[in-house]
Amino acid sequence: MSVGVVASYGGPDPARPPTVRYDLAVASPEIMSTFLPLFIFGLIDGAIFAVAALGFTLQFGITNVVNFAYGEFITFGAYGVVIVNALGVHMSFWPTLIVGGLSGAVLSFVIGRFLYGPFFKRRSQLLFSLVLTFAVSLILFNLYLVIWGSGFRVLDTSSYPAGSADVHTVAGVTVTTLQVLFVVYAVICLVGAHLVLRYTRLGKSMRAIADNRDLATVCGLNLSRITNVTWLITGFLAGSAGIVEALQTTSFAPNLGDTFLYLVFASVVLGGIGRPVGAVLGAVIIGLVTQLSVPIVGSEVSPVSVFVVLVVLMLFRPQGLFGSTGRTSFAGG
Amino acid sequence: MSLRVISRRAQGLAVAVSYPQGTINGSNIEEADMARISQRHGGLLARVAVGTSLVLGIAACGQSTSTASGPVNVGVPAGYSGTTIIYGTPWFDGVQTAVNYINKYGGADGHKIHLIPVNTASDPVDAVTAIRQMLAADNIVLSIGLAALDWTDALPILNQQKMVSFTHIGSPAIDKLNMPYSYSTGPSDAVEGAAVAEYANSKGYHNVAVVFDASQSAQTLVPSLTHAAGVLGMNIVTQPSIPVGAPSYEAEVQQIINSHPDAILLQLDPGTSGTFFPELRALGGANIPIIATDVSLDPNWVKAVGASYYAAHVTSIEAATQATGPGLATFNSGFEAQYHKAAAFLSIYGYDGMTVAALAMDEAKSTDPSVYYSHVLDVTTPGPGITNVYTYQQGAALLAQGKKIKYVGVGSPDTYNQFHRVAATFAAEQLQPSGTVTLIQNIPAISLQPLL
Repeated sequence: MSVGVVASYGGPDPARPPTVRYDLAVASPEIMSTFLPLFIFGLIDGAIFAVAALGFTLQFGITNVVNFAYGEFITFGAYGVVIVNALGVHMSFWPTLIVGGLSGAVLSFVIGRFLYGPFFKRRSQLLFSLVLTFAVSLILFNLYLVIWGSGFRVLDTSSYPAGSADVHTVAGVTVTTLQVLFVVYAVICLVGAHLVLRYTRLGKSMRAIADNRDLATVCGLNLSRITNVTWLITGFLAGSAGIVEALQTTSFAPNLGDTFLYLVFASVVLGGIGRPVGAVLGAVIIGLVTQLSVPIVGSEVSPVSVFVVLVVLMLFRPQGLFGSTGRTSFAGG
Repeated sequence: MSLRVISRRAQGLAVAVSYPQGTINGSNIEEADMARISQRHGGLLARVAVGTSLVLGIAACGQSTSTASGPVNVGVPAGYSGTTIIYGTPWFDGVQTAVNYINKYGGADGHKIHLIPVNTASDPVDAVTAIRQMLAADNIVLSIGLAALDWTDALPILNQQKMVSFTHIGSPAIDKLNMPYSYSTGPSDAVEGAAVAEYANSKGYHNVAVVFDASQSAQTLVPSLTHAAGVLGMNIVTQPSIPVGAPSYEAEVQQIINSHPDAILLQLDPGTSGTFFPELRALGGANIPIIATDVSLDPNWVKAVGASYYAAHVTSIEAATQATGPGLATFNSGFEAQYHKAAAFLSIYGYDGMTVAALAMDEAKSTDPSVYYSHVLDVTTPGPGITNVYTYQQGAALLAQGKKIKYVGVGSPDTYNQFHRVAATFAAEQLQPSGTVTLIQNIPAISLQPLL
């Protein structure tokens, strides 16, 4: 199939320029120059979503909580670094990620251990889960507003290695060093999660709990301890995702996490809920669709295209790309 | 409705109920007023209370009263939560600055003014509930508020109830509406869009990209801008509508760069700008001149874009402010004394609206909206034998002597046409790090008229 460029007019206003659309029936050499950069941008976006999606799917798979407050965990990672910056401590990229991750981990642990845990022991139904996590989301969001205001913040990147903001152009595609680092971090997270889940005792315990909580408990696994560790790990992923996202958007406000949350949800559902690899690949697909749809359907419709793809896929594979039917779809990979 | 919309709506409501007593983002709002905001959006109980108060208070509508010299209430409906939360507080701060000054010099017609923040949640439906309750329960003599997103259904209610209102509505939809009790402190977006095109044309930019975010407030400018560009013979090379709050805009940016514009005519909210501009720079568009609307004069916008980039590449277009003179100095000193920061652009218009209303009350010797509403034009229309005044103090003193005055606003000359819209000269400007605005070039109203 070849791709060409056609022009269509957006309305009766003669001053309105032709809206460029790409007609898949018309051959054109512009395919590479137009779509290759967008493909790379889509991969980068996917990598940015993937870290958050990985944390979300792990959290759900093991704790069984659909956590609407996850966006606020993401946001807290960025504000954690704001706090440290305010103390006069300036860090380079990797320490910034770690501080953001630790901030998210602390918040996630506190909320998970001392609020969600006791609550769900009494009320385990899905509806209560949704209401509680939604309420926590609102409370945290408003706390951020009170503490940090609605204005925009910029992470202090003055200590970053020289060249972090450099742009590199290869085969007509321009990316920044920082974007390359985002991709590297996403790969590290994915590989790390895979190794932990596959080859460590902790990971095997997590998979067992995700697969069958009652059986895992009967077998002697310490459900409480493993759940707590899960809150820490997934909180770390959320917090560090907040750093990645704050750097990607340059400036951020208390709604940082919410800006990404719906794409994170979409990634997780697309890949199969509870599937780490599925979440990452779902994120990549979402990223690609977000970017590649712009020249095809236009900026106005582009955000919707993600959900069109999601809905269509759900019609044929309700369990997601990597999910399985008939059991909890979490097996570490 | 997307998760995000639901989330934002709900968050908006929650904002209203969770601020600590006495502050909205640092603004001084009294405890009782916070309770009012909380009540308005506090859930089912609040809504029952609203309904009850509507029934009980309906007789009070349009019958605002005050004791001979007691304080009078002024409602300040604005988006203190929701999509335009970033503009609600600056608006209130501007009104509060005017009230401090007016009260210092005796109050409007001898009455001290008490402000009541009314949260519209930046939403037209929520605004109706909030406005109805304000009218029913707050015993107000003036409504000063309503802006980009919340006005559509609420403004007619205010007019029907014969309540004087000063708004900041840019939508051209009200350009030809006859609403005797409503005044808009800012010019129509239609004029602003034309001003952006006119300035670009004056700089010799023939091929332009029109980059506006998909919000209603931004999109209202686009038709007038593209129309003016057509009249001026300019070529719009690309016109993407930018989704607000997306994680990246690389595809759109690439499309813009590939169209090789001489300049980008733009309105993006601060958050969207924070993502858009680094990508524009990274992908090779760093040197394309940017001509932006007045949104770019918000310190938050400059911060999001980067101060050095703004200074080098961005020109902001807004209705010409009175860049010098006693009006601006009084406003700035009053604002900075209370808030210890530079004012956002919207604060100025809230300040002007409140000042005009107070002067109208002084001239009418009444705070009854059905009496003083017609005096608004008396204190804002220039003419022979009429003295220009720049502050409330000047105006009140002359009115007390029985003289005719014309208030010249800080945000605009505050001269209203027959539809109660201010007609304004526009200006190309830049916001300085100090918070002051540097004039680059005036865009006279006469040059904009043929473009509308």
